Amino acid sequence: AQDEGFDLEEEGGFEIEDTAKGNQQAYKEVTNLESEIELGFFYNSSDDQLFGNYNGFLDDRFYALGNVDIWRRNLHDWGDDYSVRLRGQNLGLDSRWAGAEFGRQGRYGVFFEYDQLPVFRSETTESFFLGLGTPSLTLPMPWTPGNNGTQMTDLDANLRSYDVESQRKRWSGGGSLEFTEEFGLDVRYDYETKKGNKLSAAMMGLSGGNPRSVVVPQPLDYRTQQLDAMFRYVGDDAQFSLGYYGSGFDNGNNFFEWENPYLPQATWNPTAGYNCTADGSPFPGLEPAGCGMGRKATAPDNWFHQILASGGYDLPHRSRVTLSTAFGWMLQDDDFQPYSVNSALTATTQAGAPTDGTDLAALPRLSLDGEIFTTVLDFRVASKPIDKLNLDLGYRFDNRDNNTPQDLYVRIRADSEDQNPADPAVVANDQARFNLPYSYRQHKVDADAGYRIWRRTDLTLGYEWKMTERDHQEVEKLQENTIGAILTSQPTSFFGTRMSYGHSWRNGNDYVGNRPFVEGNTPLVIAGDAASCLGSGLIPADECPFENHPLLRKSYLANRERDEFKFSFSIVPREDTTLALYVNYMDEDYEDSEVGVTNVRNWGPGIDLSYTPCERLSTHTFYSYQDFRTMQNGWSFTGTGAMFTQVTDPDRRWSSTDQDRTHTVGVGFDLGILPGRLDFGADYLFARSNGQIDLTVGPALTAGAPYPDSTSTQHNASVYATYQFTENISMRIGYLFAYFKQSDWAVDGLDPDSLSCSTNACVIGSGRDSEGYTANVVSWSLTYRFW
Amino acid sequence: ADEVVGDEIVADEIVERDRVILSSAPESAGEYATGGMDACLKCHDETEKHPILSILATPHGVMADERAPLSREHACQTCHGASAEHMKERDEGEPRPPVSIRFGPDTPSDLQNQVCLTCHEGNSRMNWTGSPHDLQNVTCASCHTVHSKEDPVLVKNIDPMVFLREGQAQVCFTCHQQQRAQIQQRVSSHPLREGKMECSSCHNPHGSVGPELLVKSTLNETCYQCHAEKRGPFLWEHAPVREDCSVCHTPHGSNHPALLKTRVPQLCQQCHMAAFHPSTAYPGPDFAGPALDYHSLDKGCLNCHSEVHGSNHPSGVRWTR
Repeated sequence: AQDEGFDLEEEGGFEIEDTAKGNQQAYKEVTNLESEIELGFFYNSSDDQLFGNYNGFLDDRFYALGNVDIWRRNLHDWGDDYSVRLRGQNLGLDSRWAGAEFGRQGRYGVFFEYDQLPVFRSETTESFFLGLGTPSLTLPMPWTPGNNGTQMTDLDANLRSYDVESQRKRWSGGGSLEFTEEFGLDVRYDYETKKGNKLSAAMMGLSGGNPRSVVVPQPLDYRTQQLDAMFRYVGDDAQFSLGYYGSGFDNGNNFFEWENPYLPQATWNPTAGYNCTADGSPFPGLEPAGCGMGRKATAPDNWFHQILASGGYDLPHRSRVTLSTAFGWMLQDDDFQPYSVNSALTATTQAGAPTDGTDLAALPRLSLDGEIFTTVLDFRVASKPIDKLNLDLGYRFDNRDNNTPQDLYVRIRADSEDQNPADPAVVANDQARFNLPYSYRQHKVDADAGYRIWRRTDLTLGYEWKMTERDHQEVEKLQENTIGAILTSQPTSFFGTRMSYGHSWRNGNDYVGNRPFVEGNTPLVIAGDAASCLGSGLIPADECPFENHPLLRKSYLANRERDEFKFSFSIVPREDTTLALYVNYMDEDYEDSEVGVTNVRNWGPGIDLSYTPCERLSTHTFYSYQDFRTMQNGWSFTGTGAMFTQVTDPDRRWSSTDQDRTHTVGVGFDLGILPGRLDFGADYLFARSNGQIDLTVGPALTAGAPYPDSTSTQHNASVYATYQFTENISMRIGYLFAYFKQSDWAVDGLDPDSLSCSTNACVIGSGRDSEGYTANVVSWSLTYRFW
Repeated sequence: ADEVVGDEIVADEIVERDRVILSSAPESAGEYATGGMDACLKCHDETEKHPILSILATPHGVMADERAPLSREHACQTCHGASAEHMKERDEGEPRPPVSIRFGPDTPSDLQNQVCLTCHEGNSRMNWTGSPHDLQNVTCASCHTVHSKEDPVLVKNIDPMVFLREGQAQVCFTCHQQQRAQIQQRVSSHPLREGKMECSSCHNPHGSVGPELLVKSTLNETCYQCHAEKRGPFLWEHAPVREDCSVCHTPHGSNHPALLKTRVPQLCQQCHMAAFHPSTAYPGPDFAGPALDYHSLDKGCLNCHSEVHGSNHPSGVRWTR
């Protein structure tokens, strides 16, 4: 109690000196909330729209600069706990954000937010389709179909560029209510739209296993709602919360369709191609005349409901136990699209057709009725029983129980295909599949013990065991053990270091490479494939039949050893200088994977230096390097008669090394030329990435052209100056130079009809190039600040 | 300036004394000085190396909120502990012991954090104890500046003219330098550099049920917050997609489109090695020859298999429809 405590005046404490409180105006400014309104303009010189990705500088023009932060609350000691805050950030740009808050601290609060995010991907993409931006693309008329783009003589004349871009807009609202000092409620609701387009594919049909496809813009019309509500109790020793999280996704486009620009192929149903009647006249009932249609399903609407409960309790001896659970339910029941959109083909394949086995092409159900139950349980006990000892033990259970019904669906690969459901060959030729609702369970136990071995030097040893169980996948049980040690030391205030090392072993109970293939196909198909596989005499019985090469080990399921080492070191040699060095190294070895990923390595050093020679000047610089490398092996084989000899022919192996190296440099300073009146600062950032792919092939394969490097380079330089005219008014000017250039072998130099097409297969590409920008932006603004 | 510590008081001794003070009742550990906040303000003000008056503009300083530390009986000492000894008059040259609880490197992290957790252990901080940051002796004050009008770690970087000069990410990058470099990637990255996301959009640094301190209970649930169209469930699931987005994507930035770990088709061929085109070794583009292969160029495998996140088309087993 105060009357039992030490009395400053009686004991002869400090004299009251001049303090900030002595200057009432200064005291008020320091201790009151600050509001400001900043108005001005940006001018962007660049018409490279990629520069506007995420920030909104999409055109070369003036933009209004507007930032507002009006925050009102009486002085801290006025016995008033009302506060209101209105904020707006980048109001003149498409990346604007605005928010409003009102409340009484410790009692209640409400808020509203609006947020916008422009996403820009490409301005050089081209397409000949009409109706871009809609879910139904049509061909220009007249249109000359072809087996490939070159034969489509109307293609070039009809090419138009379009922007691949989208925009998110999010409205949020919510609040909090404190019932008592311990009990409270938080609620947040978000409604977000995402509109625009993305690059996608329109596949019309296949010839054998080869496609006829066009890269096209697919419209986006997404709406997502999220509700987060949490009732909470925060006591001295115990805390708990009980909450609900819900998410609903609504896609405004249930399908995406397009007209077929290709000539009909011999293996296609005659109704599916261009001018698809036998005599070349338009097919009756299809508009525009004669054009077959292709259609695919878009992302279906979905719902997610989750109940969350967490609790924590402080035990004696500086120990604490926490338990968190989350029970979720994912739902998806959008109506299926028909097997085919071509009306001439859908008579017997629509939902409602017999499902008694006489019509194997009938949809087995009208919608998926998909549901996944999720459970997450996390239990943790942490204790500091003695001063130098730190113990932690945890268990985590993650279960995703996929209860989606399994059925047999006919695989009609595209809308061009003959869909005669009565043809048993449809099934026999692996054209029917069972859907595989993947479930997943993971148990994880981890334990850590830390001990202070010396002055401010701690050694922590840890162990983690993880068991993952999967359905319908190659490995049913995958176990991983990890041991690790961390040494942290800061023996003095001017030196600190941290070292960590971890080693893990991941092993599956058995890798059954053909499990998903067997479980996804009909017994008839499996029996046939197994017979031919066994009949070859080249493949072990337990690997017959197979889809992927029997030696493949999928990277996320494969046995693996992993080493990770991190070291960092910081030193303050002088009061004005801080230097930090670090290096990270990670190596994953997939020693049992003859085909698939064999090694992943990621490492890189870095340095940070800050120097503040005087109060007026502070500088900082950093350099970082990252080298990420993946090595993998492949084995090329056909599916025809030579399949089994090729699968066992080591001369058909190939290997690829993908390596990305990135250098990043940053440097900047802040200078108070006239401290408190004229401030100046600058930053420069440089980053360069280089991606390399080295491919080597076995003697039975043909070595092709090497991969060029994919590179990206950026320079960003910005300077600013702020001048304080009066206590309330300041001016800020800024300049930004931004340069970005990339080269990407996957798109550079390609026209839509450049991709190699044969009589059997073709893709008409996007025609885009790797894009960059050179931008100069200046800004000028006045800020009015008030209290 | 920071508290003056005499040369004869070495760090471990201070640590031990702090521990005794915090773990014991105030009556036995030390005395509280009277005079409330004003007693401290006689010496400490905005001219300090770490200015302190601005705390009065923060929630901690709202006197009308009885939960706020400065509205409580011991004011500054609510957080800094019973510190009468610190305030006693000293002879010239006599070392002045620091306040009981100092938020800096000289005080053990658990002692510092316990002060904050006294009021802030609920909600999103319920899992702090035993979390990775806790085990690494990270203190609340390592990231938070409670005496500042606006805590930098809670500020968004909104200025499109500068990159990551201020705001939350700058605080996190103090230790997470590799992520700082990855975020700068322009080929594909999340919009942290533009201030449209924060590290805390995905991570809860105070401990979480999810892996990698993610805000949701699983990695995929975290991603679905903004990418709900990929939640499904789909008729034709892609097994690794259902399980873990990070099998294919690296979230902090990539030299490849769509935050992919490596290039297509090689990325797909890490798991797909079937007959014909999935197992073929695709060379680079050859403009002089015939090999401008659509399996590797433009969108690669996605030129046809565009629905790799799952398809709900009854014939979408190959993710083309």
